Amino acid sequence: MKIEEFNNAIKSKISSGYELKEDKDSYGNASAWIILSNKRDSESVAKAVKAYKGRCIVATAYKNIDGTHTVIYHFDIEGLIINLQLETEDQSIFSITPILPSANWAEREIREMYGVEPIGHPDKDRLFLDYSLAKGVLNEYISLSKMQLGVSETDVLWENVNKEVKQ
Amino acid sequence: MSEVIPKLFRINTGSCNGCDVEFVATAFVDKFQLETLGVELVNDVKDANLLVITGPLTARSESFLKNTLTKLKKPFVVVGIGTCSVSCGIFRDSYAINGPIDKFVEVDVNVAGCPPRPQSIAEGIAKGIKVLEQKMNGEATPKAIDTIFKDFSAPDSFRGRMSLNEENCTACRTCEIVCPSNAIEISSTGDGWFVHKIWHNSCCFCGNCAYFCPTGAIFSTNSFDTAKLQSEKFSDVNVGYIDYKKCSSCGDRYMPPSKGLLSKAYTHDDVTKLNEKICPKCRKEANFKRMYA
Repeated sequence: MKIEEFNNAIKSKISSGYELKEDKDSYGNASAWIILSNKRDSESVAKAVKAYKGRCIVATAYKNIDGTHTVIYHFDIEGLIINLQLETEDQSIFSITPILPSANWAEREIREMYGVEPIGHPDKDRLFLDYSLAKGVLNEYISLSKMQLGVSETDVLWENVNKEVKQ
Repeated sequence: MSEVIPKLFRINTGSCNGCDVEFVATAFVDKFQLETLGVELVNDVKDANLLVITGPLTARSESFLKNTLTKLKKPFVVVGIGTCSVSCGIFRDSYAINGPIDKFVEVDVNVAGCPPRPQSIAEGIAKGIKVLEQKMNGEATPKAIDTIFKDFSAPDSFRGRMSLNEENCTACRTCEIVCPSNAIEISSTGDGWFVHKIWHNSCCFCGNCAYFCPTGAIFSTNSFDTAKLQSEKFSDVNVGYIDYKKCSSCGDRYMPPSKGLLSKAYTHDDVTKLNEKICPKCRKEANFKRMYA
């Protein structure tokens, strides 16, 4: 499987333009980055992946500084890694699970961890998080320096320790 | 006085299973003498009167614990095993953690450790049985119970409770920052002392503080006697006082170089002379005068 071949397959199907980047890891394995300008086109890329009998390995998400989210699907077609990157401003993406069932759990995880809603997903039940927790727990930004010194402003347990230990 | 048969039931509230593996070792290896206490393992919580809880109480396990506790018949004793159950340890402040368990159930004995050694677990259960006997006879829970199993020997390289050599410490706060479980706190009294506290019930015994300490002041001992009563939960602290010295020349406070640092920098023995009870600023001035005045 060559990147050019896949590019020719999706060229006519993507309506609003995309950027293609080629990359190689230290072992010489090729990978492609497809950066979409419209998140709706993820469905046509997923259809092309399905036509080549590929699968979705996993999906990554993160929150940008301006509040938008970036979602990256990682596809595998006969050893070629294709990374599909899309941006969303309204915390929603178009689910590719009806086309590629292997994206099912990855989209559910993104939904509960970042609150990004996969529209058209067949099963939106929680995957890992308990129902008592609000969705999008990883949207909160906590700096490493704050993390190291304890996230909460008041540490009740240490207050108790300081009460017991007279100085 | 009636004979008390302790019937033990174990609950895992989101533990990593480390404590559970150690508990299994305690229960099934003869050397740890658990059967000399006459403990009976039961598979239904309705029969139990000695509850062993591991884990930091994750959000998902909260309802299961609450549900189980309603089935228990009084009197019963709760033994928390592992640093997670005592103070949530490294998982404190996480969004998915609702513990520690003493928010939801009255805990009697805490066994800190990550995981605790089987000897500590056996000790904790033995103490729990003592408390159970007193509860059944309607007596008040004592403030402290003597250690029951006296054998707490461990290899010298074992990472047990941390300790501090006050003479070497300069209160640089490295240990406080590298500690993953927030077990160390350094505070100033405001009148010439720094107080260095190691809370053993939050420590995960990783040894990060000893590894990063530039002067070798904080170190791990091979003591692991961590089975304590709930009343000792917040007082099981190693406290060290670090002298924030007053300069004999200008009167300002300064941190003298620690013996640990000096012995690294100077190989000869007579290093105390270099540390002449004056602050670095005054020492520089004195040296300048000595050389050029």
